[in-house]
Amino acid sequence: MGDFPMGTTHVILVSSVNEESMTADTKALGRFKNAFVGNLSHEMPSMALCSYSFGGDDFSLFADYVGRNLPLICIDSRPRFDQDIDLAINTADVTELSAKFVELAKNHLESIDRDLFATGSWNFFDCSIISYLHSLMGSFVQARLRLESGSPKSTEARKKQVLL
Amino acid sequence: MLTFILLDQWLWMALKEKTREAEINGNEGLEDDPENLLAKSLVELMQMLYRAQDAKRREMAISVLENFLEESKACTTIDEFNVVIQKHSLQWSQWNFFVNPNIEVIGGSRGEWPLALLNDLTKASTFFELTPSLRDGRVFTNYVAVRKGDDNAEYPFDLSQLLETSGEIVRNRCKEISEAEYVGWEMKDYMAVRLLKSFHFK
Repeated sequence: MGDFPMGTTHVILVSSVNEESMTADTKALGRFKNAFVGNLSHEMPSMALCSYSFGGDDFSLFADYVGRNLPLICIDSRPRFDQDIDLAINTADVTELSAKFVELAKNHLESIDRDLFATGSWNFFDCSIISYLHSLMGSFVQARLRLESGSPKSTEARKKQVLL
Repeated sequence: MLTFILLDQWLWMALKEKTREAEINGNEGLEDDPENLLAKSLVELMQMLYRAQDAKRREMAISVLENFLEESKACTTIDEFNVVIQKHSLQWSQWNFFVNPNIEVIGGSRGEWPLALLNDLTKASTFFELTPSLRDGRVFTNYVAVRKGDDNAEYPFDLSQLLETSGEIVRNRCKEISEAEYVGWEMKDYMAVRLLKSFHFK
């Protein structure tokens, strides 16, 4: 009980043991969570919250939440370098801009992998990666609007920015 | 119990149906707009990096196991073997690699601990029962060390048997690692794309 976060008032225990093979089997837990959260979202305002990794859950579980319009908050716990660079400058078109963003993401994530490998660790921060790429998507929209407006820093382009 | 199962199944089917309906009616990730194209590229990038890391982890896992085999060959006593295996188990733990033979997952920061192992530990009373990872053909990072247990107990195995058994286990483990199925982010593109972008742009 000491492991429960402070403020926990209710706990649901789901048996996750395959008694034939005597191994942990989280399929039942996953099904329960999906059904439980899905049902909650029908009845009352609900949101999903994840940080670090996806806690062993399938990647698609969270895609499923999002697909059913359930608000999802991903917390990026990795430090990020300053990404406030305007990739739209000196960029000919959206295709080139998109390639620049992919390159930016590739360099950044590969750099993290290299640093982790050098210390004998690996990149398990699935949720963090998703958060990072998600923020990159937002930056891309802004850069694209600036590029298409023809004036990278114009007021008009700023007005068109998607609310994030 | 039956009611609960039926209710659970009904909920599950209802949710799947709702999801399926949303996928049919929606087209997130299918349009050729710039955001979707970028999201698809980023998903491919994630999968590429994940596979690259997976391959590197397999390579590292196999190399440290092979190092153990090589070093254990020079052992002349069980005590020496004990030192070698403890040293390498520490290294395995540091590298944090893990292959679960039940679900064939490479890696996992928390590891996957079959209950059988815990059961083995609670029942442990003799030399090999105290090393279930050797006995069962599994190499686990934190429990692989050879322990003597009762100082007065007679070892049922000599060094050559120990080397032969552990060698066979580790070689099998290397084979399992290299042949384990890749279990990265295999999913339909539109689902990953949706996760990346749809809650941004809806």
